[in-house]
Amino acid sequence: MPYQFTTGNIKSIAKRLGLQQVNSKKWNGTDINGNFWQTYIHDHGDGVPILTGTAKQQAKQMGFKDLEDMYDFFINSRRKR
Amino acid sequence: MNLLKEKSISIAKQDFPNIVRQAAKGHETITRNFKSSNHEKVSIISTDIYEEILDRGYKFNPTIEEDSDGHGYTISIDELLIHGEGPTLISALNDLAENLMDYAEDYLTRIDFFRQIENRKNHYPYLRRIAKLTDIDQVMEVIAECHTNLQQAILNQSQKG
Repeated sequence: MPYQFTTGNIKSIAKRLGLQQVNSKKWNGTDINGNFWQTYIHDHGDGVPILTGTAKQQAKQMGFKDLEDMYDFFINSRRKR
Repeated sequence: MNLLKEKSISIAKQDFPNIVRQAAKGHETITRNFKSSNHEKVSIISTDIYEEILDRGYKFNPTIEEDSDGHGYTISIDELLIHGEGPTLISALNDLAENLMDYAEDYLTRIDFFRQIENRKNHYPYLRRIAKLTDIDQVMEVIAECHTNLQQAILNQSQKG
C-alpha cells in the first residue's frame, strides 16, 4: 500500500517527536527516549505532497523502521514514538 | 612490534618546530600527558597525508530514487543520514550538497556533542572531507565521485553554461 505524506504531515510528525526547525530546512531535536534525530524538510506549503523517496529518507532519519511505521505513528495520536 | 613512539607534552612543546618539519615530510609524532590518568593521545601528522587517507578511505555512495510519477528525484547518502531532493537530478544534487555543507558546519562546530551520538559519531571523516571544500560545485563533484549518472548531470549542467 503506497503511503503518501504532505509537507504538513511530516512537520507534524517531527514536532510530535520533539524536533524543532533550526533553519529554513533543518529540523532536529531529542525524542522522548533521549535520542537525537535530524532531517531536512523543504517547506513548499503544508498541503504539498512529499516525494515518496524523500519521505522514506525522512522516516529513516527520524528513527522509523519504514513508511508504514511512520504512517502508523502519524495516525495514532497515542503513540509517543 | 610497535613502531610508534610517544612524546610527553612538555618535550613536544620544546621540540615543536622540528615536529612540524618532520610531520610535513611524513613522520608522525604522538603526544600525550604522561602524568594524566586518561590515555588520550594526539597525533601530529601531515595534513596532506591525513586528507589523502580521508579521500581514499571515505568515498561517498549516493543513492538516487526517481519519483514514479515523474515529480522529481531524491538523492540520499545513507552513511550520513542525509538526503536532497529536486525536480531534476542536478537540482536534487544541489540540494543535497547544500544540506551536506550545512551539516558539516554544525557537526564540526559541535563535534564533542555529535561524537557522543552512536549513529552519528562515525560521520566525522566524510564531513571533514567536505569541510576543506570552498564552494558548492566542489561538494557536488565529491558527492558524485563514484556515480556516473550524477557526474553526467554535472557535465550537462556545465555545458548549458
